Amino acid sequence: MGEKCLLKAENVSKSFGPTRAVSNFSMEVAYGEVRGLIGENGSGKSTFSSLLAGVLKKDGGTFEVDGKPYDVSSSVEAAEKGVALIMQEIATVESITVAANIYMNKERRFANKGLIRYKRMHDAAGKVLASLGLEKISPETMVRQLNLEERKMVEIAKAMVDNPKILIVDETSNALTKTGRDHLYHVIRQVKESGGSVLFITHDMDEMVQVCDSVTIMRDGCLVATLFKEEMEPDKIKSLMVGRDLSENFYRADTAPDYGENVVLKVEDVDGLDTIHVSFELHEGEILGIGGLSDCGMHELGRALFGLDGQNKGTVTVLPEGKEIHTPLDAIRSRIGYLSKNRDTEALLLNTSIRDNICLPVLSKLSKGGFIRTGEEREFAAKWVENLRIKCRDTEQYLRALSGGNKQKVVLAKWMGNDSRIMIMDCPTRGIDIGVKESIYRMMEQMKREKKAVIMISEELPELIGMSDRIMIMRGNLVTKVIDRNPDITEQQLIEYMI
Amino acid sequence: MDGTVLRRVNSGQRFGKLVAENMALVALLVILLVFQILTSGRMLTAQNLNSIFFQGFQLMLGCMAVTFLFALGGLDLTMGNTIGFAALLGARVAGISIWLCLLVCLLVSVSVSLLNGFLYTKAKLPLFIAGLSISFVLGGFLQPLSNNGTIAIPYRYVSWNNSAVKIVVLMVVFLIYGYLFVYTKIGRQMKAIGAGEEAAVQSGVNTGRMKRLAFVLSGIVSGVLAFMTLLRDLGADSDTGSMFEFNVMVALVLGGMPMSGGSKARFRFAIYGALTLSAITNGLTLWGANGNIQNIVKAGIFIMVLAIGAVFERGKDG
Repeated sequence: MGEKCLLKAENVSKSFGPTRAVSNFSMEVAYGEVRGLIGENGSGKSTFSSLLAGVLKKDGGTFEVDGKPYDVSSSVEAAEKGVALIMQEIATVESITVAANIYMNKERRFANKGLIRYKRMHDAAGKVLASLGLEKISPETMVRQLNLEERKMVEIAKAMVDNPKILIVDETSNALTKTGRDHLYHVIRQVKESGGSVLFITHDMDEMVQVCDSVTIMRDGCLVATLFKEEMEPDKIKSLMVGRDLSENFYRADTAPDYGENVVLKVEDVDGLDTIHVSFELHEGEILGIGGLSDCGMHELGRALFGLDGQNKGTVTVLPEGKEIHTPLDAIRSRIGYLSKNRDTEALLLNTSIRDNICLPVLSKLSKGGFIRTGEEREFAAKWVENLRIKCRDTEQYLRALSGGNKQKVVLAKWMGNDSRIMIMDCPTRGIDIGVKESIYRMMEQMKREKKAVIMISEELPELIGMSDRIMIMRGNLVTKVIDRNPDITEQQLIEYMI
Repeated sequence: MDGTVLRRVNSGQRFGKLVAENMALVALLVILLVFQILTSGRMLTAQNLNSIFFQGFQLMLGCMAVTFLFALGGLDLTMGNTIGFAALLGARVAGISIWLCLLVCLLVSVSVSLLNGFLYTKAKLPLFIAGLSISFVLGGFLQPLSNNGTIAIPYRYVSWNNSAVKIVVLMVVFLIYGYLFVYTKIGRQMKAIGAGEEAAVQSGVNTGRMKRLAFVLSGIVSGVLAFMTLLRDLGADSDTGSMFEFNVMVALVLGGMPMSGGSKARFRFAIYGALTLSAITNGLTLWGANGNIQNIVKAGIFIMVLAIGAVFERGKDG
């Protein structure tokens, strides 16, 4: 590119242990350009934006902003140099005011003889909010009293305080309503018109095409392609993201619900830690997707179904036996498996061998004549390592050294080793590379064919739509909607029931 | 994706692991040799090796007893005073029947271990605080229970304190505890708790029950130890059992037991450690060091071993 660019990234890399999250990634963004950044989860787009915003430290490569080398070690420094990030997660601090959030780390500006003049901070914050059309949020309110969308608006205001040259918007729109989105688009236009650039990360293809001037597609940490306005077609983008034509199916090929009549799990008025009130039935051969925002109670529901937290007032009954689940041990005896969303701390023993991890729930079965023999455990573990193609040195290797995807496979091996007929999966593909992700989907289909049942709790809408026979959407610890599998479900439709 | 899966453990790695896991044996040999030189040849005589073994007898029992607790990341700070407490109570009934004495010793220590287990798993007290408190409470009873002197058991039982009895007791505990730790799910589940409690829970381990069981296993042997101490000393006083838990801790760490428990815990570490510490104590005595110096040396070794272990652990990555 001949003309001068506002942002230039060259050969940027970042690894987490053995996983290369971003590798040799280069891109250039012009003044006044809104660039979309798209890719599957784990493709490295969030990591890249964190590197640019100083949240993470890059392993190699260079950034240039406005023609000058740009190398920051914290988000505060990045903000000073005109790069602001609006994160995917809620990043406001609850127990302080809106103004204090907006001017976090910038309090010094309002300092006078060592004291902070809050009055002046509130006035300044009020002006920032007004310039964004957010007069209805008072700078003196505690953030705790705001709803999710208003908190997001506060974060936008925080990012816009110093009129950044580069604004990064990381999957923010997912959680927003129509009005919220309009505010966001307004801010994006504002940056664009003042000659700045915007990096816009979203999963919503229509939104992307509408808002962005160009789009860069990432896969497995690498640059796949950059398309400009007229080339931006959703189908083309999708196939570039996945790395092959979509006719070859990543998700399930069928478009209608398909499961047996027999109920295998009956859940009545389950009441976990967070007073969820949920009832449903799970059938043999069914994949039941549960979706919602991360604090909607679905993760707590998953734990309650497995007998964790021990406060369940409702009942979880395994049929046809009619056995109730009160503890994880009950669940395991009824051949239920559970993949925690916090894999490394809850589902696995990292400083322990693959063998011990796989054998732990089935020790009683491996015991012969009162003796558990290491040799037999090894055979058992090796069998599952082979079945699931877990990449490792041998069954004695400690899990610490495996990649995220292979660790997840060990969790699966552990439950398949127990011949689980009901699998509760909480965020099964979080932080996992695309290859393992696909093999997890194929495994779910395999379970379905064997008349086993899967409960898939997920924050990823494409996965819910792509794999579930039924999708149950939750909000505020209640079920707001159950949708049967059909070809016409859109992400927007699901989001409506989530917020 | 199609990585080849090796079924067998590669033999080189197996040898490396074998050496790493048996470092304590090497250390034991080095210690024996060092003292052999320092004491001009008095260390490695048949008679002295025999006395190292029998001096290490109580320590071996104690180490095997708390191996389970150590594996799950715990420790028993009450052991020494439990032994003293149980021995003093047992001594008072020894005149009636020696079997009643054994029964009292066992009942008292198992009760204390149940209390420990209850405070840890039901009242959710931190192990360290609960252990220290119980230990202080028990310690407070020792002086009055001993009438500021020695509570003796009848002299005729002096003959019971012989090698045959000791070897039988040692073998029984070794076989039962070793079996439970190595060949049943009890040992594996306890190691799993030490390696990651939440993950153990999610793999179906009843962590509360396992923790209480670990305390009871420790308590049973504490009772046996109280009884054996009575036979050895023909009575008990307020010093009986004093600091025993510290010696056990030092010995286990010397044997290679990780303080945080987990997958690297091995049953044989109890034996290695007890013998090593016994050899050190014996060597220091032969060399002419008094009790105070011995304690300083032991504490020094304890800190050194932990520090070396910590450095090695940090050096290893992935």
